[in-house]
Amino acid sequence: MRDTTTTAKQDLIIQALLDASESAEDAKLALQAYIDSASHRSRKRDTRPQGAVLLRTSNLQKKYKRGRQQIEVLKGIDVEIHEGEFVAITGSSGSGKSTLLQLLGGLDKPSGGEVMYGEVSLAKLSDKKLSLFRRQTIGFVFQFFYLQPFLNVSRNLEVANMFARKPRKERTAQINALSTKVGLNDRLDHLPKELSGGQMQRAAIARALMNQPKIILADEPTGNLDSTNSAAIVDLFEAIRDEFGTTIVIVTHDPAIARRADREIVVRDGLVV
Amino acid sequence: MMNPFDVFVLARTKLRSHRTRTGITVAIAGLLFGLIVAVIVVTQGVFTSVDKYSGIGLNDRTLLGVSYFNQTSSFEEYNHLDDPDFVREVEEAYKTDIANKKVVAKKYSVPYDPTISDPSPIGIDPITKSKVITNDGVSSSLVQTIAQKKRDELEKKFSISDYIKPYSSATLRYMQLVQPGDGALSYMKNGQENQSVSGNRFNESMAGVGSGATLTILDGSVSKPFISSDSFDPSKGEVPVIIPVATAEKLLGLSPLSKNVSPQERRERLQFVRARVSDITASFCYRNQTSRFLLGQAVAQQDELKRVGGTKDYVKPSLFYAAPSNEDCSGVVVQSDTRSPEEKKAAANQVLFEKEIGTWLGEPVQHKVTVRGVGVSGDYDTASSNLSIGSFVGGLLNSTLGYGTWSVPKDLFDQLPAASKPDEIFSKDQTGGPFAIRYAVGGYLVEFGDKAEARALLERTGAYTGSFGDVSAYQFGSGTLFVDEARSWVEKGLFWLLVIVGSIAVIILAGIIGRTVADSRRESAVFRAIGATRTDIAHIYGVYALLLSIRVVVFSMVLGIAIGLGADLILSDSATLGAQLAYAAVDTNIRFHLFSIASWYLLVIVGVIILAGLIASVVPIILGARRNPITDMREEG
Repeated sequence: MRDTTTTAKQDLIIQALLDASESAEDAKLALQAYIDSASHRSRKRDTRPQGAVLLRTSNLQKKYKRGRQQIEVLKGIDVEIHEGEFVAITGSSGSGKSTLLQLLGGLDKPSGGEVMYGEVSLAKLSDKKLSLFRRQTIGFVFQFFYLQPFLNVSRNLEVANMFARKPRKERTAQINALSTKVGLNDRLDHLPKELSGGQMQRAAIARALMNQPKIILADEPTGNLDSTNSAAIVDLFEAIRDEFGTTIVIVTHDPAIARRADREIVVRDGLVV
Repeated sequence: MMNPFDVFVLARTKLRSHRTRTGITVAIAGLLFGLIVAVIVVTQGVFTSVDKYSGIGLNDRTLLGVSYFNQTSSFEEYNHLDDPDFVREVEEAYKTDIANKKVVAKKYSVPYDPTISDPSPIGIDPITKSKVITNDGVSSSLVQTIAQKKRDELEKKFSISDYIKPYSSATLRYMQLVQPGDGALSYMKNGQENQSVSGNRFNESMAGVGSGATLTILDGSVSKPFISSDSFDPSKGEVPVIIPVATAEKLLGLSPLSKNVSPQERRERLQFVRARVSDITASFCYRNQTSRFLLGQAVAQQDELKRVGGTKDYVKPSLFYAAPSNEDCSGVVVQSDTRSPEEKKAAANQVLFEKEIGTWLGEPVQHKVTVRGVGVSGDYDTASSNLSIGSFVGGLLNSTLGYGTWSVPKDLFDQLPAASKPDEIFSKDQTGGPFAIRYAVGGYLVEFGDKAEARALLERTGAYTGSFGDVSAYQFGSGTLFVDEARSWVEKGLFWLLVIVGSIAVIILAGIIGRTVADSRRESAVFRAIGATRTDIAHIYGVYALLLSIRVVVFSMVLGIAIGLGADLILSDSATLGAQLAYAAVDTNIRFHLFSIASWYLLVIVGVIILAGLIASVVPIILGARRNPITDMREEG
């Protein structure tokens, strides 16, 4: 998939990253992030054919224990998420679609099978590396926004950069750019409780973008919004994908949103249909 | 690692967002810790101030007064009056005595009727029909003498040097109660002898200068701190004395201060008295029994002359005495002697008779003793006034040579010419007279190099439990042993206060911090979702707890120190005066503060608060770290 010149460049970068990173594993993740973001930035929307495979699951399983009962939520899922795709995961309630999204983002550990990010199996990463993966590669957007109630919009955005140890100057530029992008540059000093649902979700999307992730994983991002706001949010996702080449994976109930996706993965009873 | 500044920003923002909870935590925990801090700074202040005074007066000396009183007399338990052997011994001695007296009376042609002068002390018990000592006989000198002999045989003599032998650091210091065995020392109020006084000799003696007054010759090094005048001149023949403040005031003609006067006035009075102490002189008249008897006779004769002289009933005694001037304590003089040569001869024979049978009281002896003030000693009136904190401090620091005691510094006393310190009054052999036989009159003064030994002796005598045996002991001159004891109790008390109130405060503080951190599961889950490591989370909440703890520390320190400073501001003046009054002998300008932050406990408190906060936050962080962020987000969502 990679040509020879990039391989030579990669070696240099690997060395540089090795010097800075704690392990070769980190370096690999960092490198992957670099390559992907570099290639994304240069891309225009390319509907078909699909780009390289970013995330792949094979025979992914997840079981929960509820009391004595064991619930099998995912029964062996095989999906691939490609670079620059806008994928909708749909399915009825309890079908396992949100669980799939969380496993893709390394927020949860599978009971069986694996999630591969490039050549790396997420299950094999330490907690620290998993944190690194989430902060560098993934941007999460939740149905209930989950902005930190005690931080104003600006800090809610900045906090993602804090964990990524980004220099202060870059953070300010990023906050300004992204808050403008999501139309909240006049709400930076507001606390989440002072925002509307749509504004909160836009702030959450801006936060997800702060570390320039390759993939945005959105769990029913419009589930708590009216149709106008929902449409606006989907527009925003599309715009992000178009501008940054970010891969968007949305879990949704809404057939209208699913229709706007490049591809729809339907999950039913823990399996892809 | 996250940038420490970012950690701080997030922790501080979180702290500020929970204003009510933070406020309540800081207020409750801070109040409890603040009170502990206040108690610590005040008690530490008091003890630091006490230490500052430790070199003054007798506070750096450990002296015990030790007295002996044979309470469990084996002789008294033995009922000698009913003992046939004792009765027989008395009977025989009586017979011999009477026979001897009859012989001597005959020799000097002195009329002697034993039934009048020496009735038999032996009688018959109406019930048992056996010989017993009669009620009158018990007090006869014959029975007393034989009883004393028995007592001496039966009872072990108390030896102070044996008693203190187990204490290697103990040294006996000179202390002698001046109490003539024969006759009495009477105070010459306004320089005049009260010649008409009759009755109990104790009431006429030192009591004249103040209730409970005694004259004691005291070791020079012990009395030295109380000497404020260096004008003592031994050649004047005046006995140097350290006078209780209240008595000194009286002798200087000052009326006692009212209870309501300000501490300042009290202090000024004290300084005045101290400055004027060398102006104080007082005179005492010593008369032995014969001199007193003759004086009594002279006064009675003069009284009779005044009352009925010139009437037909009045018959002037053939031997007529003139009372001496009441200012010079001299002997009685014969004003007229119209006795016939036979009468004179009979009187001379009577003396020879009494001398031979041992009942003669001796020639009259009288001495005038003048004392001169060289210093003052605190007494009950100065130590306890209406200033409550002052009395407390006064009680802590009180340094005195004993309430009511007039102390004569031994080293100065020794410099006096012999004529100024007649043996009849000052000789140690005279001390206590007949009382010295059963009581160690005035007791002994023992100095200890090792306080622990002094405590051991006090414990041995039962001083701590209040159940004294034959030997009793008390701390002399100062209350340092008490202060040490009090300090150790206060320190124990402080420790438990710290443990109990501290635990309550820690539970409150830790409970609230722990709850806050545990309540923040969704917050940390969201942080985790956007890339925070567990360490990042631990740092944020750890610093949050630290900041909250620091607020509690600051609040409690500010509160405690403010209370301490307030107490110092309000009470320091009175306390300082209390201390100055306690050291009546020494004019000290050391301030008595009730505030000091030089205590390890304060560091302990800071440590406890911060540790409590950190532990309270770390536990939920560790427990939360294993949780699935997704579950946490859902739970609270």
